[in-house]
Formats: sequence, C-alpha cells, structure tokens
Amino acid sequence: MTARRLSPAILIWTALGLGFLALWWWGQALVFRLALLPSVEEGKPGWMVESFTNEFLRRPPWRVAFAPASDRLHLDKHDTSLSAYGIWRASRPGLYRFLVICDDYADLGLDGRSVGSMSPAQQAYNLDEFTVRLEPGPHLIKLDLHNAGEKGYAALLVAEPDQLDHEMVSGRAVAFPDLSNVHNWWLMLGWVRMLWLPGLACLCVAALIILLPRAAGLGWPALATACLVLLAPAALIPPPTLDKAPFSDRGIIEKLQLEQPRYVFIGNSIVESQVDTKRLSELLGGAKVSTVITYGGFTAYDYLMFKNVVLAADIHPKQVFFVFRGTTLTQPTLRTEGEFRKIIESMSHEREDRLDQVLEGRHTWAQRVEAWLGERVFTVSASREQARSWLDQAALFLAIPPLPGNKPQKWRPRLKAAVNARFGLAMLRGAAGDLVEADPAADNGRPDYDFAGNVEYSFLPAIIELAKARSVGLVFMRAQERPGPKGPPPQDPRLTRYMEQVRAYMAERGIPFHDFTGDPELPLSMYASGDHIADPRRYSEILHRRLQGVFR
Amino acid sequence: MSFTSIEYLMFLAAALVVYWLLGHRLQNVFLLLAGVVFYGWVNPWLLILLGGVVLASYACALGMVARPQWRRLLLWAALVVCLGTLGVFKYADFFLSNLGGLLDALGLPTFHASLKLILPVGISFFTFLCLGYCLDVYHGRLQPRRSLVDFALMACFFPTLQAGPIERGGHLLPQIEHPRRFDPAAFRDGLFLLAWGFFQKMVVADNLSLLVNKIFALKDPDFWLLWTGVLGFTFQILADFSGYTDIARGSARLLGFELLRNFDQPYLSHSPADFWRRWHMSLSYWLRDYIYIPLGGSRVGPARAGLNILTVFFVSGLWHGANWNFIVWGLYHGLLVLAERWWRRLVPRALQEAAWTAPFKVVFTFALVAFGWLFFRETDLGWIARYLSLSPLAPSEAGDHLITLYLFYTVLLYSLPLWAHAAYDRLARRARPGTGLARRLLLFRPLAASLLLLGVLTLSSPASGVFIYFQF
Repeated sequence: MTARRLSPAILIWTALGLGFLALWWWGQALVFRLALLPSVEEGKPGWMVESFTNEFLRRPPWRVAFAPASDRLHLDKHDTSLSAYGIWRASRPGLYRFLVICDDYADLGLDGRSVGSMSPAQQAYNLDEFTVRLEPGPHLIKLDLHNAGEKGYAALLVAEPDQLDHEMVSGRAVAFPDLSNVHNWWLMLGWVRMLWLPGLACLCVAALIILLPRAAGLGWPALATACLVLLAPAALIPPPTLDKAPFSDRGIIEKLQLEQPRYVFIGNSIVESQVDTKRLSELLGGAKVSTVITYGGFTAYDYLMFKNVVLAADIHPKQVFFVFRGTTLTQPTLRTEGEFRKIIESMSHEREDRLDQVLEGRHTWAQRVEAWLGERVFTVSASREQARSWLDQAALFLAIPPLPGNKPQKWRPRLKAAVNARFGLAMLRGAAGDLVEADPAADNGRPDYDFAGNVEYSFLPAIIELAKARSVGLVFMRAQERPGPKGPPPQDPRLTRYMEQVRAYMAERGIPFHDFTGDPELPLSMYASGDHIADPRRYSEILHRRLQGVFR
Repeated sequence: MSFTSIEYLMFLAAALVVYWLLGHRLQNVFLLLAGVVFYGWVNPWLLILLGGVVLASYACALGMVARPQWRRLLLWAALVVCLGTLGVFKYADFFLSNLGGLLDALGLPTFHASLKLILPVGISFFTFLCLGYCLDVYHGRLQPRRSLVDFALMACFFPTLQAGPIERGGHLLPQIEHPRRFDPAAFRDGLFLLAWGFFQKMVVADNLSLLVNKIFALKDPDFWLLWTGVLGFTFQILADFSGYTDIARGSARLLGFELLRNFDQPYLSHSPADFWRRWHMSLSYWLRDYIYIPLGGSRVGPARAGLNILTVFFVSGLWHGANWNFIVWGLYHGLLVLAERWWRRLVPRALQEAAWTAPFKVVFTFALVAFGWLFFRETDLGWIARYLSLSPLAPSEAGDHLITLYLFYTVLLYSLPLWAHAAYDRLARRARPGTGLARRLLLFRPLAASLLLLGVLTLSSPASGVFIYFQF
C-alpha cells in the first residue's frame, strides 16, 4: 500500500462518509428515542395543533393547542391554517393507505417528509388518498389544514396493508407530543432522511483519491467538487411523496358492473378507434359490449386491466378480446418505466408478484442501473412530473397573466383542455399522426421477433392462466398497421414468422386468433391518424363479419 | 449506441478508465476497437460497409504516393467507393422513384422498384471524411498515413462516427499520432460540454419535438399556429444537432482530443452567409474546400460564381436527405446568399457596416433562417405549398389564438437556456485568463454543471428521440 493510500485525507473523508451514513441509518430512531417519545404523556392522546392566521405567514403560530380525542380537526375562522402533529404507531410493515377528507384542502406529511398535497382549487368536501410504505413503530404525522372559507375541518383515515376499508385516525389513536418546538423536530426528521447523500459523496471522494492515479493531478478539492456537482441535483430534487400511486380504477370496475357486458375489449386508443360498442352490440343481437381502454398502454397495462378490473368486477363476460400490434405481445416492459411507473402503480394493487416477476425478468443490466439511479439516487420519476408541470404553469401564466378581468383560475384550466382537444386524434392528419403516436418498436430500440423464445417471459401465460381459472374465453386480434396508398403495410419476413408462431401457440391452447393485416376491407381510406381507424362503426361491422365463428 | 442512452455513459466511463491506463500506441488500438463496438452495437453487419470504405480510402491514398502515375485513377476509385456507397444506400431509392414517376408522367412504360436498404447511421459523415482525406492526399495537402490503425481510428473515432463533426485528416491525424497527456482542465471542459450537450438534446430538443410534431401533424393549423411550430423547430434542430456535437466534442476532450467546432451561435448571425460560417461549420467548410473552390469559387464571373454557390447549396441540401424538400431548402439558402451578395453591391458600405443596423440584421437573418426550416421539417411538398398559402388574416378555429400564445411561450421557455448559453459564451470569450471575470466564470461552472444535470434529470422529455442528423 502506498503512502497516498494511507493519507489523512482518505481517512477523514471515509470517517465523514461513514458518520453521515450512520446518522442517516439511526437518526430517525434517535430523534424518536431522545426527543419525541419522552415528551409523550401517558394517557393523554390527541393532536398537537398549531394555528396560523395565514397559510403563507406560518411562524410564529398565533395559537398552540392540544386537540383531545376527537375525530376531526376544526378551523372556525376565515383564511386560517393549522398544523396538527401526532405520534402514531404502525403495527406492521407494508403499504399504508391514508385518506384525507377535508374542507378546504390539506397536506399530509410523515416523519419529516411530504406525503401528499391536495389541490387548493377544490373546496368543500375534498378527498384524496396517499400511499406510504412504513416500518412498524412510531411515526410523526403532520396534517396541515387550510381554510379559505367560513369553517374548515380535516379527518384522517388509514387502511393497513391488505386492509380494504379505511379506519379513522382519531385523536385517540395518536399520542400528543408535548413539545413547543415540535416543528423543528419535524424538520430534523426530514434532514436526517437526506444524510445518505453527503455520506455517499464523502465516500466517493475517498474512493476517487485511492483509485485515480497520482499522474491525473487531481487533488481532493477537485474530486470533492466533482462529487458535489454530481450529487447536488439529488439533494435539490424533491423526494418522492407517494411510495405507490393509489389504485385508481375502481370507477371502471363500477362501470363494468353496471354494464354487465358479455364481450369486453381491452387495449389502448387503437381499440377505442376500432370498436363502436353500440353498433357491435346491435350486430350481436343486443349482447352488451364494453371497452376497457388505457391510452398509450401496452401488454403490461392489458394484463393489469384484465386482472384488476375485468376479473375483479366479477361480471363473468363470455369473451375478452385483446388487441395488439407488431411484436408487442412479447415486449412486456413497454412503457412500464420512468414516468409510466406511476401509471402502472395506479393500476396495481399493493402486491403484484407476477407483474414484478415478468418486468424484472426482462430488464437488461443497463435498464437496472438506470432504474436504480432514477428511482433510488435521484428520485427522478417523482420529480419529473412536478418540474414539467411548473414549466407548463409558467407558460399558462404568460398566456393568461393575472391581470384584472382575466380570471386566470377559471381560464387556465380551460386553455389546457382546449389545447388537448385541439391536438386530439381527430384533428391530426393521416400518417403524420405517427409522429405523435407511439411506435411500439421505438420504445425498446429493436423488436425481438422470437415469439417462441420470449412468450414464457411475457404476460401471455399469466393472462391465459387467469382466464382459465375464471372460465373466461379469450380472443387475440392483431390490428393492421397503417397501410400504404397501394395496399397493406409491408411485412418484415421475421414478423410473418412471428405471427405464424403466435397462431400456432393460440391454436394449441384453443384460443381464437385473428390477424387483420392485409384485410381487403381495410384500405388507407379507413385510417385516421397513425394506426387509428377513422370509422369505428364500419370497423365494428368488419370485425363482426370476420369473427362470426367467435361470436356464435 | 445512442449518445443519450445509459449504455453510452457506461461505455464512455469504462473506455476512459482503460484508455488512460494504456500507452500511446495501445490507446489508439483500444480507441479503434471501442469505435467498432460503438458502431456495431445495434447492427454489426454495418461494420462491413464501414470497413470497406475505410480500407478502400486507405489503399487509394497510399497508392497515390506509391504509384504517382495512377493518382488520377486512384482518386476516381476512391470517389466511386465513397460516393457509390452513399449513392446506393442513401439515394438509390430516391432516384428510382423519381425516374419511375417521370416515366409515368411522360406516359412511357414505368416501374416501381426500390432497394429498401437500411440507411447506415453516419454514412454521410464517414464517407465525406474519407473522401476529404483522399482529395487532400491527391492535391498534396496531406501525406498518406502508413499506419492502418491510425487512419482507421480517424474514420472510426466513436465520438464523431454517427453525426460528425466532419473531421479533416490534417486536423485529427496529428492528434492521433502524437502522445496525449491527461489534462485536468481539458477533462473538466469535456465534462461541462457533455452536460451541456445532454441538456440541449434531452431537455430542449426532445421537449420541443413533442410540441413541433403535434403542430406539424395537425390537419388544419392556422398561420400563427404553424409558424409557432416552425419557431419551435428552429430551436429544436439547433439544440438537437448542437447537443450531439457538444456530446461528441466533450467525449473527445475527455480522451485528450480537440474536435472541430461545429456551431458558433448561428442564430446571432448577421447575414445568410454569416449563418453558414456558424452553422454546421465542418460541412460548410468541407463543401467550400472540396466543391466551391475547385469549381472556381468567386474568382470567376458573377454568373458563374452564382452558379457555383447554387451548386454548393444544392449539394448541401441533397447531402441532408434524399428528398425534394431538402433540395428546396438548400436552394433557398443558396438564393439567400446570392441575394446577400447583390445587396452588398447595391447598398453603400457605410450603411452596411453601421453599428445600429446589427440588431436588425440579426433579427432579419433569424427570420429568414427560421422560414427556411419549414422546407427542412416538412418532407411533403404538397403540404409545404399548403402551409405557404396560409394567410395571417384568415379566420381561425375558435380558441386558436390563445392556444398559439400558450405554445409560443412554451417554445420561448424551452429556448431560454440556448440564449443564456449564448450570453455565457460571449462572456467566456471576453474573459482573459487570470482576470476577475475569468475566475468568476470558473466558479460558476460547477454550479452550472449541477443545474444542467438537475435539468436533465427532472426536465428531460419522456419521449427521447434519436438525433435528427442521424438520418443523414
């Protein structure tokens, strides 16, 4: 070992790094052990409430109060806010779902971290659900309530892991932290959560001093600056609020239960452009037809919709139709990472073992590293949406400035809606729509044409197993991609072989499969934007004719 | 391998560690192998094509010196290999379809044939580089290199392989042949260039492309909406190509190389000719040295000089893509440069050089260049004609005015970093080493690098696309 490797700089940076990491690991427990738990009085449950005259002028509070056993927190003055602190114990590890019901709006925090903010635009009965993964033990809850009207209230409910219904977190369930400086301890808990960053930075500097050759001429100030440059963004990016987006498809389940369809079509906007449920229902002698659409979705979305919506609705359809393009059937990771992760989560329950297994199995080493960096180090996916929305808000602000008579609160949301409508599929021209529509191949670089080799690592076996267990018939259809002016779209010979394998696989399992590619009734004139159909009514008639045997 | 993929970052990091541990000769062999891996990552078969062009150029150049009597013949051989490769892979289908269309229009028996070959990434760049080398050797401006490794490394240097800058033998070969030393300052500059390049591509260009693609996909855009889209594309293409170039230059600098500068604040140009001295400079100077000057340049009569300019811009348009819109775009710029020449003759010199006219000239040039991007962005001539017929006074869809305003501000917000960088660049050029300004800028750089990284992480577009110039 050279003298350089034993230099004091290395020892100092290593010690600093390990010190920060130790504080990060044990810091939260220390704050509870040394400050918060000793302040709790036995037999005195309730919230510690700080009230403010104005949401933005928070310090000092004009009143600090104890709110004893009560289901709700109340504000009775116009334009006031409160922060309620309480120590609450989680009984077991897992994903907890917190439901906040309030008037006007509230923010929920746990252990120095913001868990969710409700929209100030909504007033009166305001309701939102936030999900957080928690370890068993004490947790400091902070509920901020803002009241712009006459009277305000907030109620907090929680559903434990695997528990369907929420239970009220009343004043009886929380312990009162009798500390005048509870807000500072709250901040401390937040800072402790970030200590892994300086710890990692210091260890990086020590590692670089050891690894880099002396000839590089880089002293520790340069290396420390480099580490700081790389890790500073991680400190600046707001940490993710939700550990998992709450399941949001209960509305579709209720819709299906109301409709009680005999035939269900699952897919993305392509299916929406193809199936006219009313017309198809007429052609089927009144048998109900429903569509379950996830815009921009691919096979992972179809699997989750089938499992968590169609089967969960308990409607026993005769047949469920899946529509796909190209090789997407065996590309399970399409649109499941990055910002799409939250969409997948919103369609998932707390445990989705099969989903995780399929997705993990298909990740390359580079994707794993990217996911680790994006999700763990820089927490990008959570912040990306927020940062983009700030930019969007800035453009809206400039377009509709807050001038007298402009009514920005009213017109900005309307402008956003108008922009979305102006660029809707019906407004796009022919093939140019491809530019704004997803190209399945573009999502993963190059399609893999080996169906037989990949099918076991896709969602197809899971879908078939589920359908078999619930005695639901399956039908798979391949949508024709946009044809050219002179005929059907050109077919890659490898794709033709892929489809032959799909056909054989389905035939072996007795599952009907229809490929619409090359259908003489689907010329270019039938298409709107990209692969979307211009006339769903006519397409439904064609579909009915082609699948007579299936519908019989 | 795409520059904006995590694979590239890992590839670069691993390559840097190994590279700086090796001696000079081994460094060159290692870089050549890295170039081969980089280029063959997605489609290894394309390496055969790249290898063929490199070997043919290497052999022809050596032969020109060894067999002076065959110099002309060998130059023709190099021209046939380089331009033939380009012709077959890039232009064959274009010419076949146009020939078929022409025969059809003339009422003669026609055909519908196409080769449907894939367009190898960077084909226009590496063929031009090899061709330039052979021409330099032919004219005696450069000694042919005996070391195949050095020559092949010049052609397969991975930072420049996919979209330039189009290097010159006289510039890159000496850097390859001389030992390179690790320079912390250059390394720091390289990292900063990388961060800025990633930001330009992933934040500015990719986000603007979402907006621009939507506007150009509309069935019925009104005048103002369309031109907001064109304005968006004006910034998108700069951020896209300049972003690529900066990643290439940054990567090269980490390896101890200095590549040619490709952009020099082109949207602050004072005239169309000035624009071409600042935009894709490596191509502009290539065309000037190997086409314009051999044709006689401006030393011939005015008519011939005008024709030379149009020829160069016709080639420039065609180089960008095998489609009529690129040819129209090239000729449009040729006409602008010709118009500028006439303007210089007609307007008194004092007025031309008056300081107060500078902002007007910049704005006017920017408007002309932005107008030209319509021909570049829209590949369908029918749609171009339709767009040009739009009137600013025509009634538009209800609400389009506000939508246009919102999109216009979005474009402006995304273009702000480009303007900020232009200002920084201007300051950095003024700052003399050791002065207070230079020290302040040095302190500012780590902060700026962190902010760029933060921008890439939080604002990068969900639909990261390939670089526009990859298709050329």
